[in-house]
Amino acid sequence: MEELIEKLKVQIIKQLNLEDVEPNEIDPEKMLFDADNELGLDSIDALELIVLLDKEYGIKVKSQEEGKSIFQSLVTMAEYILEHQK
Amino acid sequence: MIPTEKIYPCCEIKAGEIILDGKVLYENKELPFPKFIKGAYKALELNYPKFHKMDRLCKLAFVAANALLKEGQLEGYAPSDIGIVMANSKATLHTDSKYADSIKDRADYFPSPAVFVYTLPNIMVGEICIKYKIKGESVFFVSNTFDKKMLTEYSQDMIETGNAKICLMGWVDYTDTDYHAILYLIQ
Repeated sequence: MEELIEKLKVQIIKQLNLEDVEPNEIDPEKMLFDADNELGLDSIDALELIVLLDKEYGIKVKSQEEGKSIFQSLVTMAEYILEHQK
Repeated sequence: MIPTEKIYPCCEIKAGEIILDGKVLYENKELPFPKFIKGAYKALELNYPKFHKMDRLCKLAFVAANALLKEGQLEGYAPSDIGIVMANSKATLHTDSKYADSIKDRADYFPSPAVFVYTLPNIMVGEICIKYKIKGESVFFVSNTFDKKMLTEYSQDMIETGNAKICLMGWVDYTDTDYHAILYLIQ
């Protein structure tokens, strides 16, 4: 799980074009789309995360509600991937 | 008597330096642009999470604008009274190339919305407008060189014709090998 979270940090930085963010600056427990999150993610980034899951893990997000629960934090993303990865 | 040129508040960023009204505000000539601009963002305590998502051109414009406006120079102006007149020579070429690279392989075709949104140069104007809640007139030119006289006259005309009361004017250009921002506050 920890290994996957570290991998996700690197993939998210690349996918979301956060070139000046270091992996150790991302808190895996923090709400990804919270207004207080220093990454400043928005709806376009939600699309990017959906693309990332599809491209890297072969997982298709089927609904907005499902997306909301998957993308709460890096931990919830990693848990979902471990459960659904093809 | 020869008329003297009016001096406007100015911020310039180039070659690892941020110069505000002739004084060095931040300096780090050793770092490549991404690390230099992140260092400036931290040193100026900008605290604006969306900064990390911006492309390099927008980061350059954003830091220059913030350095110039950090003392609340726009306070007291209605959002619709603040104009922006900007220009550069390479438009968004750096990000255009990055986006083109990301879609060139038809077998691995995942266009990136996060990159695509930065493939128009007036996104710089948009990012500054969002931060400062500016709703006035804006214009963006692409030209070979920084024509300060023309851009100043354009800004002054906006003010004289009642289309703005204050105007952020300047040049912000980025390539893989060079960067230069110079912004003025025309009043």
